[in-house]
Order: sequence, then C-alpha cells, then structure tokens
Amino acid sequence: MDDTLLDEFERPLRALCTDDTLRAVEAGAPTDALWQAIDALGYTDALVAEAQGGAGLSLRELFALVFAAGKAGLGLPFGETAVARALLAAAGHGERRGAGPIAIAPGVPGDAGSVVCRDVPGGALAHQVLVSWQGEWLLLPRDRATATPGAWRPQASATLQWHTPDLAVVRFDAGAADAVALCNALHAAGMAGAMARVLELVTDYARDRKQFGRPIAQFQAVQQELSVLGEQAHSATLAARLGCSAAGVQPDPLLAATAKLRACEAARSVCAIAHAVFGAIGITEEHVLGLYTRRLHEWRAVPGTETQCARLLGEALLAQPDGLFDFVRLRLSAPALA
Amino acid sequence: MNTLQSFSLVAIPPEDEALRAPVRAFLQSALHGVAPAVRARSWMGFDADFSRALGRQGWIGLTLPKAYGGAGRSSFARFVLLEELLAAGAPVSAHWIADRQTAPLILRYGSEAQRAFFVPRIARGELFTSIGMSEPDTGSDLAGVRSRAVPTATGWRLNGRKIWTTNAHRAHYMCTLVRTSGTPEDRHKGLSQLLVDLTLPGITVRPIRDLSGDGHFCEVLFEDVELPADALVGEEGAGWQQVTAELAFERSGPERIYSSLVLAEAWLAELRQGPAPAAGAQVIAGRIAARMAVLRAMSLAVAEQLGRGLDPAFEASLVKDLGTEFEQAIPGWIEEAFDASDHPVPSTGLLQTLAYVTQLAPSFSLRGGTRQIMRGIIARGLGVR
Repeated sequence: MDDTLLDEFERPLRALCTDDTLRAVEAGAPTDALWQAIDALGYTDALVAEAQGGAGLSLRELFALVFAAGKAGLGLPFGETAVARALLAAAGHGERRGAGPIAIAPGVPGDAGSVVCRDVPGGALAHQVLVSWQGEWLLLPRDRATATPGAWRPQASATLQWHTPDLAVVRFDAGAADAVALCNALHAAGMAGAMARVLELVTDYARDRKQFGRPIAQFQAVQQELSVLGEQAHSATLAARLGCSAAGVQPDPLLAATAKLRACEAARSVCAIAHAVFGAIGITEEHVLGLYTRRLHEWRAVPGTETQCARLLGEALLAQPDGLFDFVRLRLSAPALA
Repeated sequence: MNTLQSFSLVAIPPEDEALRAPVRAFLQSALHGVAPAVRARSWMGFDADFSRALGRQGWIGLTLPKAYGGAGRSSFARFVLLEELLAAGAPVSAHWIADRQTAPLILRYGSEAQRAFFVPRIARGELFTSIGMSEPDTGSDLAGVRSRAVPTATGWRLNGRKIWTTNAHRAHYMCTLVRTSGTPEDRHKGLSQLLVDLTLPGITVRPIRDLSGDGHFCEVLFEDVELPADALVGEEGAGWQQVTAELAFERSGPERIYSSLVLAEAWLAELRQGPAPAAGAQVIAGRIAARMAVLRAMSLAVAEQLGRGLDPAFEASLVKDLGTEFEQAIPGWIEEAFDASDHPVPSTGLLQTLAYVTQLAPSFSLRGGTRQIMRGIIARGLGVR
C-alpha cells in the first residue's frame, strides 16, 4: 500500500472537516459525533495487526493518513489514536482502548508523585492519554486529570496532571518505546499536511486577489515569497516521510527528531509568508488560515521542540566516532523497503 | 502541486552503495595530508593528474555507455561517487563539467563522430571542457547572447566574448552557446551549441582572479575563429532547448548540498577533541545534520527520477535553492558555535577554512542559475507564474 490510501481517506475527511466544524471544535463544541464519523471511516485501526482485527499497516504507510488529517485541519488526535490502539493491542490490552480518541504524551514527574503531560495537542478532546512514564506506558483517563488550558488552543489542548500514576487503567512495559519520538514523527506528518493546506490556500488567494489591476500572483516579489513557502512545505513533507519511515509502529528517534526539527523550521517561514500574502483578511477570526497557523505554532511549541530535537541529534552525532557525512548517511537515511 | 508527490523516499541499491568503499580507500591515499582549507575548494579545486588517476579507475563518465568508455552504471552509483569526492574535498574541477554536462550532451545530441571522439577522452580524464554561457551583458538572461557564428564554406566563423567561464584557461574545449541565426529579439530561437577547440587561432583567454586569490574563471575573446562544420552539437538554432534539458542534472546533485561539508567536518573534529561540547554547539551540530539529511533525501529522490528518464525541473530547482541556502548558512552557524563556548579554541587551519568558505559562499547560489531564477521556476511549478 502507498499513498493511494490517501485519496480514499482524504475525500470523506475533508467533507467532515468543514471550516465551520473546525472552528466549532476549536471553540469547545462537542466532538463525539465528529470522532464517531471519522472512526467509522475505518482507518483508526490501520496499525493494529490483522490477527487482531486491524489492517496491519506500518508507520511508513500511516504517514499519508496523518498528513491528510493535518491537511484537513482535524483537531482530534487521529494519528496518535491509531498508534495507541496498535500499542495497546500488541500488548494484549486491545479491549481497554475505548472508542474515543487517545492522545500520546511523555509524562514528567510533578508535585507530590503526580504525572504531568505538558501541552498535549488535542489533550482536552482525548478520552484517554497514553503516557510514557519511567519505562512503561500508562493509559490514563483524561477525565481523571486536572487540566490547564493550552496556550494556543485553550478548548482543544491542555496540560494534564494526574495525582498518581496509579490512575492508569492499563500499564505495560514500554521497551524501547519513546513517546517523544512518536510525537515527533506524528506531529511532523501533521505539520507537513497543515503546511500543504496553507500552500494551497495562499496560492489560490494570490491568483484571485487583484491589486494594481492584476492578480498579486503576477508580481515577482510575491512569486518569490510563494516559492520559498513552497520549498519549505515540500521539504517538510519529505522530512516527515523520513520521520515515519519505520517498517513497524515505532519510529526511529533520530529520524523522528530530524522530521520534527525540519517541520518546525519550515513552519516559521510558512506562517510568516502566508500571513504576509493574505494581508488583513488572514488575521481575522473568520478566515481559516489562522486555524492552520495556530496549529503549526502549537506543534512547534510542544515536546520535542525545535531546539530539543536539534540537541538530541547533536548529542548523538558527537557521541559516536563518525563524521557528519557518515552520521547522516548511516543514521539519518531512509531504511530500504523490505 | 501536491507536496506529497514531488519527492519520494528512496534508498541507494546495495550494488551501487558497494562503490563507496573502493572510492573512499582511493581518496584516503590520494588526499593524505591535504589541509582542510585546500580541500574546502571542493569541486572548484583543479588537479589534472588527479582527474587522470580517477579516469584510470573508471570513475569519470560512470553513467555513460561502455561503448564510449563509460561504466554503464546507474544514477545512484554516480551519486555515491560524487558524495565521496565532495565529502573528501577532492580536486575534481578539471573533469567535473565534462563529466556532468558535456559528455551527456554529446551523447544525447552529438553526431556519432563527436561521440566517438569526445566521450572516451572525457572518460579517461584526458579531455577537459568549459561551458561558455555568460557574456559581459548577458548573465541570467541567456537569450541576450551576442556572440555569433556565421556559416562559411568550411564551417563557422565565430566572433564574440564570453565571461565567467570556469577553467577556460586550462580546458581543451569550450561548449559554447552562441547565436547562429536571427537576432537577440528572437530570444531563445537561433541559438546553437558549438564545441570550440581552445587552441585555435583568434582565441584569447584571460583568467580572472576571485576574491580569495584563486583563478578559476575567465574572460574569453573570439576574433574570427574558424571552426569546422562539425563543431556544431545537435541542431542549429535548438541550442536553448538542448541547454535546458541538461539543467536538472546540474542543479540537483550533491554538489548543491556539500560545498561547506569540509568546513563542517573540520569544525566537528575539533569540537570532539575539546572538553564536553556546550549545549549551543550541540544544537548547531544537530541542526546541520538534520538539514543535510533532508536535503540528501531530496537529492536522492531527484537522482531516482533522472534515472527513470523524467525531467524533474521543479524538484531540481527546489533542491538547488534549499541546498545552496544550507551551504551558505554553515559558516554563520559555526561562528555562532565558536561564540557559544571558549573551548576548544579553533585552530588557525579551521579559521582559514571558515574564512575561505564564508567569502566564496555567495557563489554557491550564483553558479548554475541564481536563487531568483530558481524561485521563478518554482513559482511556475506552483502555478502562480
């Protein structure tokens, strides 16, 4: 399977994610019906093994779906849910997954033995959160957490705190798993999708909007800016593919960090150029551009951030004997397809 | 344009990857003891003996057919070879242009006699070429070329002037774009490519020193140069189409990513020998690695498309613009890393390498089509031009 899956998913997804629906989700409207409709499309079990009733796909194949969700502006944690269901099923806890969306986040120790997940995208909408905690995965019910509204999307995202890890309904060995790597790979794919949508919005607008008697796309100054936006979006897409290139469910942490770092760098320039081209209409509540650039800024801000990813890669590079070129070639390249 | 379709993830096939070890072993012995500031010349470093030695190994014209002295290998094998040459900072300039552009051009558009004469000599590292495009008044807008060849009883008489022609003073031939019919108002129509033997009477070559003191580019004057009829490559008047067909090969290769690699490696080597690196230096090392990894994946994706006979002009322009931006950013990042910690103190050799790359870096996005030209091509691909 390859990106052909994309079309089958993207069309109904875009029909569900109208601009009004997206705005309503961000404003705190109920999301149960939207989630049920998305789950009913049948892609949320894509990574679950076939023997356990899923499609048995790899992260490499999931990439196109997460990209599509980002491009459609879906505010619910779709990719995270697909991965969480696969991890739960593989550990024999498939029956505990519930029907609702599941977020994924790294847990850090808070006050008095509590578990804290900072800035979880879609954390206010998820029913459960799969948290990496001291070598284990904890499946924690979101309604047992104290939630602090997210800085970027106060109704959709949140910092979550559980007073004890014992609130987990399921806990199992995390092995080599790493919530940060998973978030990096999935967020990079979502960001690439969001940037692809911004590219679409802004090129359409530049062709329609007339000033000085002609479409602004005909001005060389505007064209050069749009080219930079396009370069960044294309580069972030391939980077996200690289981040999600694993043949299983777990991404390679270094490739995932590469993907997220590139997506964050690209997003800064994509957001700035898109808003510059759109002018005042782009910073209105009414226009959908702001929903996408807000998502991009939030993704940039959540773990692992641009600098955290760069530091992880720099440490790994300097901790081994090879030079830069061999490190890139041997550690930061796509694995061959089996 | 859908961002999903432009670049796919490709891995180098094992049989092509296998070329890496022998190339690296050869380069380690050939370049033993050469200082980083010299190796940082990268594909601007000229050494005819080195090129001939590489030719003896069969490593020039790697993708050309065996019948013409090539090795008949894939675009991935060439990618591996180029990566190793650039990573080592090998002085490849003597044969680089003939290998990358002139030989493929002659194979595609040349006569059988031209193929039989030029291609095997190029592959042996015996015949070096330069490419005459720019003129004093004609840079990015090549349709304005004024050098002119008029038909004679025996061939062509060439008059005109070329400038910024790399290696014209030490190449054997120049593949030059000149007007053979019509006027500059005809724009791209009426231009032709001629292979000019640089030993002919009427040719004056004046090297121009660059700001680091190196002499690689030249001004070339043609005064009533008599050329044989078979100096013409391909079709009279179709020179522009012939030139543009080759540009994707020129614009997307690893030479658009690795021009500052010798500098980055020299910095990292010193960083490793010092005390535990500062966080700021780690972050910069990570940024460089990630950027390079994504660009390498993009360049490989284009190599795969070229290998399938596609014409990825949009993708190649994208790689060139982003790749040269990366090459140009490296010196500044390394200066930032120096400021992030007092240790280790950079060596004189490293500082000289930094000074050289910093000064030459503006050329990275000039050669092979300027940044603004690349962005114009990308804008067209995005449907806004």
